[in-house]
Amino acid sequence: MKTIPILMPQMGQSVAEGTIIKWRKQVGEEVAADEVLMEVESDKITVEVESPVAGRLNSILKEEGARAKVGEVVAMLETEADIHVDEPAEPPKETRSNRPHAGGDGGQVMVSVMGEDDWNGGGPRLPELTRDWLSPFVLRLAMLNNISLKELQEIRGSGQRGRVTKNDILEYLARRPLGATSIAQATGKATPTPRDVERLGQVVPMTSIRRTIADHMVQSIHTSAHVTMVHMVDMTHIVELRNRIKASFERRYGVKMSYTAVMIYVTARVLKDFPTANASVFGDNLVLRNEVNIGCAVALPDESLVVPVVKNADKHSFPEIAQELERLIKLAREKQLKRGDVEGGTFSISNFGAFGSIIGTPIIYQPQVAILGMGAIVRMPSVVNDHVVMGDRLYLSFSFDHRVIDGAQGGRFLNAIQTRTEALTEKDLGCEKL
Amino acid sequence: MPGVKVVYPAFPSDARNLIYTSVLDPNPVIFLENKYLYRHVKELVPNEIDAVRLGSARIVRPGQEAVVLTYGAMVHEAVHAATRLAGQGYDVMVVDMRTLKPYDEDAIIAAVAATNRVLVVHEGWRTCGFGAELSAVVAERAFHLLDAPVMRLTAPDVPVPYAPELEAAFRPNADKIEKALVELIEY
Repeated sequence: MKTIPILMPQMGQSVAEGTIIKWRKQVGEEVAADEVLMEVESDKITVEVESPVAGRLNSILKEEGARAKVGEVVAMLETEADIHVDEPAEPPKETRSNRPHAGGDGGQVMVSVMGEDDWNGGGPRLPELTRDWLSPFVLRLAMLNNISLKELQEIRGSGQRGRVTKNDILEYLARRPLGATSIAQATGKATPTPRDVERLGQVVPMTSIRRTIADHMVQSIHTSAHVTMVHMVDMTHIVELRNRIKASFERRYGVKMSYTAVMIYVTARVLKDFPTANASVFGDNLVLRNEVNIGCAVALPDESLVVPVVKNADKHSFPEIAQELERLIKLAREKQLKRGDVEGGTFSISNFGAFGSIIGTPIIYQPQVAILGMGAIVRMPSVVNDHVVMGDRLYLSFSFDHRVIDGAQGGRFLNAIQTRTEALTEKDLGCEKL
Repeated sequence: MPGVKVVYPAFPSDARNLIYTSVLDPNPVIFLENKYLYRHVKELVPNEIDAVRLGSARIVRPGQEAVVLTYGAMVHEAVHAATRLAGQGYDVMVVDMRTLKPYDEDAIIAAVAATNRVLVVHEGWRTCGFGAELSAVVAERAFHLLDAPVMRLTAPDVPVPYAPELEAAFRPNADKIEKALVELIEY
């Protein structure tokens, strides 16, 4: 009988931590190998974590609702199984002192004769410290930047014995939020707790998904040079077509004929001619992606957002795309999306028209380089051949990363989308016999 | 010794330029040449003489995490150590004092302001060595800029040994400088 740790699993490349939603087993309960132990929420997906072996749940270290870093121990399991278990990952060390360095020990020959202090040339090494020791420079930085002693004590030091070094304080200053000074000064704390701010209003902690969205949006704005262009597309004939055949389309294919699916269908085909728009930025490299996988932003009832991906949209017919989109939206609403459903996107589409907005400026989903936003389709007068006629119009907002795509290219891309959409036939949409 | 200037070049071009300035200087100048550097350091020296002012130090290698204040043969050992450390992610500045008297106080203060950590290296004995003078001026004029105590790496206070192994143990070198810098930067 031995006790093995249960670790927070790795749930995707960029995932650093997860929240334990539910323990399916209680302490003392027996568990079979591959039986589900817990449910973990992370990065927009929920994962069921299975027990690696049969055994008995010995203790739970992270309660429901608690967050844990990937590789962190969340529970202990007693088992008879004879398996080798990797030790839990050590938290990454902040200092670099454990790095090997090429320095030989020139004085070692003499050490036994003379004693190291006589021979190391540098004489006595630097004095031993306590964590509280603050160097003159750190104190000066703290004074100049109004950092309180309490704040200083809460900074995690990377120096010897955890002392706060110059770099620690500079990093702290870099991430100290603007406006935090007053709260920090009032409370003497670096990060205000709910209690510190509750006098300002009702405190609602961000959920894991909300935090992920927040981080992603800010990161994207900081990463890409966002530019948005807008085209007006004549949807009159598509709207007519849809009104005429939507009942039979639903009967034949089992799903509604949605405008989002229409735009996925068109965009996927146009993207084949614009490889730089179907690309990802990794460091200094632009990767023109082989596949065309179109993510589609879906708002969830709890005010959060997921972006499931229609894979290989350029290779699927319109009805297939409509079916896949409806399947993904249904899963998203039920929070049943799997990792594979949200990964691998190369381009995104956001339909914000459902609530009446006609134009938006969508934010790029990193590491992609462009996103297409759809407004509401509105019936309005416009001038055709010097005559004012009524028609259905759709504003398409195209946000792209100006680091990679220039204005002319962006304009050509939108133009191609417009031309192709306006030229769509019943045959293209698989509706000719309906 | 008041009234005497002391020059200690580390590079052929500096040796040529500084001897020129020394000869023109109205004061007595002691010009020290490191015997070890004679055939060890080679450099193409341009024809034009650059009249280097006595008392001006030179940044041989820029860096941000620590500065090595040194002169003579140790400049080359320090650059060697700094280059190796760069491969491990440490960014070390090396300053060649060039003139020991008068020495370039302003350059020292500027280097400390840029790095906040100081390692003084020289070949001579530790007690009452020139490094003690450099350490003292850092403590006097740049105390508020220090993020770690000033560190010295010198020869130990023993007679210079003759056997090659003992001499190697006696003399500071790139390995020892590297080790000291890691300790200083990690402090």
